[in-house]
Parts: sequence; C-alpha cells; structure tokens
Amino acid sequence: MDLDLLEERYQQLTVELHPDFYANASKRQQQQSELASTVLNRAYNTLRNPVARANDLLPRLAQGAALDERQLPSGFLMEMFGLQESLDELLESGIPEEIAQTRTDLTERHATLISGLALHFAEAEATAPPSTLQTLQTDLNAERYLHRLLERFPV
Amino acid sequence: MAYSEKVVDHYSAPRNVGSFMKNDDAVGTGLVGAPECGDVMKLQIKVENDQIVDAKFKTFGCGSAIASSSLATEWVKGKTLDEAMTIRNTEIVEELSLPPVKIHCSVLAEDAIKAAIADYKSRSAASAD
Repeated sequence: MDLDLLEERYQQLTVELHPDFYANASKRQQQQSELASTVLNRAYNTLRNPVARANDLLPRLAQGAALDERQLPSGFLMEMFGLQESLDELLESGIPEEIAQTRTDLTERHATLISGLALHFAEAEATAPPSTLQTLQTDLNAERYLHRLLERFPV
Repeated sequence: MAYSEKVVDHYSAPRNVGSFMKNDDAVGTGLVGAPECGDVMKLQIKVENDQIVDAKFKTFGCGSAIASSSLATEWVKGKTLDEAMTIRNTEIVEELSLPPVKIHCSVLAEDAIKAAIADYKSRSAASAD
C-alpha cells in the first residue's frame, strides 16, 4: 500500500466531493455529495490502517469460504489472560522502566504480527490456499487481544 | 452509548471477583475469549454434590462483559450443574438491557459457565478413574 498515493487521491477526491463545495448546488447534488463523502471517508480510514484493511480484505479474498472466526493460536487465550493479570500488578505498582519495557515488548509483538499479515496476504493473493486464509483469520483474531493489552498503558 | 443502570451497578461493584485454586478437584474453570473485541473472561465454580456452592470470575473487557460475568456468577450460585447449563445469554441480555452491539458479551458469559461445568466434569471423571 502506497500511503502517499492514498493521501494524494484522498485529497483530490475530497476536493471533488466535499459538501462545502456544493453549498449552492441543488438539493439532490448536496445529498449525493454527502453520501459520496461518507463512502470516501470510510474507504480512506479502512485503507490507511493495516489492521482495518486486512479485516476488510480477508472476507473478499475468501469469497465465502468458511473461516473459523474464533480460532486462536494454541495456548494463546491462557497466555493473554496471564498477561492481563500481570499487567494489573505492573501498572499498579511496577517501576516505570519495567512498564516501559513491557510496553515495548508488546508493541514489537503486535508490529511483528501486523507485518506478518502483509506477507500472508501476498501469498494468499497469489494462490489463495485455504490454509493461508485461515492463518490470516487467526492472526487477525489474535491481533485484537494484543490491541486490548496495549490499550491499557497510560498515554 | 449509555450503559443501563444494572450494568453500571455490576461494573462499579462487581460480585464475586477473584480466583479459586485451579487444581482443586471441586473447582471447574472456564476461560473464554471474544475475538470480536479481544475480551478475556475466566469463570470458576466450586461444586459439592452436583451443586454449585460458590463462583468467582475475573474479566478483562468492557463494562458489559464485566457485568455479564458478574451476573453469571450470581446466577449459578446455588444451582445444580444441570440447572446452570440452562442459563441462556438472552436472559443476561434481558436482565442487563444490553444493546445489540453488546450481545456477544452475554454470549461470552454463557460460554464461560458451560466451559467451567465441562472442565469440572472432565476433571471429576478423571479423578474417579
């Protein structure tokens, strides 16, 4: 995904479609502008976020093939519960360096998972083997748990 | 979105938070997750003569997930295993007035009860061997 190109196209289309530029147009044109801008913004927000993009793309790529939307890597749930519990303690009484280190580790793990998505997508788009599609689904399921852990750190 | 009064009540004063020893033969542990949002829920039951005498939970998730599991521990207490198996997520939805986007939280609580019972049964079957 070329993010610069995305930004450029988004700006172009915004200029073409934004309701501000239709203030003096007919009622019908105003409504169309509003609708088109909503669709544009939704598409833009999905495309620029790798996880949102992957969640949107996968069902299209799977073309109705049944993927297990609950599958997680083995032992993953127990690990996540354990991490959540230790995070309780860490955030309550841990030293700042430890908190920062845990955050760095989790951020890296999250980033590794997301860059793995890109590789699997490239593979899936080439041949679309069902096992790769399920791997993607499983990774996307796991991503939400990691995301939840990362949300707990103070900004 | 505003939470219902009952959700706020359970969320701000959750019942039965905590843990039992996992390897106690009288204890069944259910650990479930909601991949829609990344919530994790642990619900444990303590059983004597097929009756649930105590229950504990710990949930990492939104207010509705915490309220659903808090309510679930209250409801299973005093019930037999068979009775507890009949608790449906729709009853939790009704009791807590959960909106449609939070229905999966009640499903999680129902799954947690079932998982805890299944765990208790498999462990007591194994220890009877």
